Amino acid sequence: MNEALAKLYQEVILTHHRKPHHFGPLPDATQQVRLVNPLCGDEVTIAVRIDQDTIAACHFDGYGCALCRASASLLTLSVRGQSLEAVRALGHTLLTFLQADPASQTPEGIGDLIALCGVREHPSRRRCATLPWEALLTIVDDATE
Amino acid sequence: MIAAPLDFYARRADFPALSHHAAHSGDRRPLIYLDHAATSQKPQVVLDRLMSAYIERCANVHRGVYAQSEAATRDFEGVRRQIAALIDAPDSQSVVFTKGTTESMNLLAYSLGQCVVQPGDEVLVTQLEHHSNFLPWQELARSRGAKLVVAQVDEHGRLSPHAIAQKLSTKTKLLACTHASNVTGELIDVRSICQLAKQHGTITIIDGAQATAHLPVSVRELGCDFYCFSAHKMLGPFGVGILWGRAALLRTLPAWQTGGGMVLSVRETESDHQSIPHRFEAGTPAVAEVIALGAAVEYLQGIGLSVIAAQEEILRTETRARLRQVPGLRLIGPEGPGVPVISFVLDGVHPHDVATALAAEGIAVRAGLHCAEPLFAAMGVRGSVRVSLSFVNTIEEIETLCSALVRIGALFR
Ligand SMILES: Cc1ncc(COP(=O)(O)O)c(C=O)c1O
Repeated sequence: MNEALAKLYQEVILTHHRKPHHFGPLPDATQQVRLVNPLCGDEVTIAVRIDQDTIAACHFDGYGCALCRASASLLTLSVRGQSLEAVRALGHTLLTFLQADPASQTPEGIGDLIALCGVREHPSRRRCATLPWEALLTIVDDATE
Repeated sequence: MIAAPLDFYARRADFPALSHHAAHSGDRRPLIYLDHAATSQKPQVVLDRLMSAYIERCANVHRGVYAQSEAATRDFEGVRRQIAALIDAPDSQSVVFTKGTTESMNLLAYSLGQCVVQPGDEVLVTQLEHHSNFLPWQELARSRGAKLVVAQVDEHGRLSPHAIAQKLSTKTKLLACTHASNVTGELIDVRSICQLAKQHGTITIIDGAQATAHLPVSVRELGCDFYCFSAHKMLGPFGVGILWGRAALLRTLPAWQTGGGMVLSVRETESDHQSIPHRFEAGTPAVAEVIALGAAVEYLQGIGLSVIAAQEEILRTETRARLRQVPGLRLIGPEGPGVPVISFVLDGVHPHDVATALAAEGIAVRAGLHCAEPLFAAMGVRGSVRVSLSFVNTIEEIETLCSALVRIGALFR
């Protein structure tokens, strides 16, 4: 595998793609949003249980590529137990980072999500990684309106 | 007689883009271009003709009295005759230049649609269509209070004349159908379909976007009323499309856009429109690009479209056979006659991941729904990887593709 590809499909991404976390419906979800990427027809549903302004549980479902699945799987891990405000801040930081120039600096506090950085060099694939986060931010915005 | 493959190897040198290095792979391997269905590469003769049109005769057509304008007009109209000959049309005045298949279809949906489709009528399309030959008819039906009827494919995506026959009735005013699928390559029995349509007085519109670069086309033999295609998919430049229509029918249609070049005389309250084809060519056309299309037609005819068809059939058969050997790979689409367009899925790997991984090796393919969502819905498939070939492709390139696919499968699973 060459360098550009190895950066896009890092081992973290492939691991989450092969065995995603919290994949499938969330039975006691309080909110959920489904988004479709018109380019490839992929769809992702993010479902959460919000309890006192905190994300008590988060699942994802749908059909998507390795980048989309890994991004969603990482999302479910990084938002669990977090306040809506913290999740909103994280989401915005990540989206800004993924849309930035490949040479720009890595923001603090994004943890394993750094593994998604490869999409910055593949503009046609950026939306694959951002789609789950766009869905989550829609939920957070609606919940805190 | 089939030309020896060796002759086709030599043809690669005619296409400057093929010796360029692949953009993404840091190495020096040349690009392996397997996306000819999206747009074909352009031979040097086409680029030269384009350049000389811009340098030697950069003038508007049907306007000037000076040498450059007269030369541009002569060449431009010459290409109209070349196109008529290419598709075996009875005359060249029924060849209209547009900006692509999409525009040709929209022109027809507007101009023909408004004339012949009344509320309660039916417009027949198929599940196989590219969105460009689906949405204009969907929109026409909606705006006219008509019914859009969709002929079904079977689970492999095969469209039979029988499926069309089932949906035809005296209410069917128009039938829009592709000549070859841009997803599966399936070649449609347009001749039988047009015969069936004629029995019901239905006007037939054929989408030839995926056909004209790959096989000899005779609109006379097909028996269709309209035939549309794009220059850029047949070695020609971007921005030019063709609409051919039976002259007797085309003459009855009103203009769809108005402006310079399509009128005889203009008064303050009314105007008289030109006859065909100029009535449908309002505004300045893509003069140099049309002229360069002439070089593409000469190039294709220089090899011979039946010779091309035979060589591409060898490549298509060989590619399908080799792809089948890749573990976990499933071909999508029916067996049978086709243009060299092949769709597949790789078990456990999303089509876009396959395409991105191939791109990293300098192999250009397309992934997704290929502007044919109704077909994927009908086949129950979420998307495919599409390999589309031309006579310039080689078995070595296919071998490289297949070994990359074996590695990609192992990586993601
Ligand atoms: C079968 C078919 N019809 C129509 C089109 C639209 O052609 P264009 O984009 O050149 O208008 C395409 C090209 O993608 C096609 O493959």
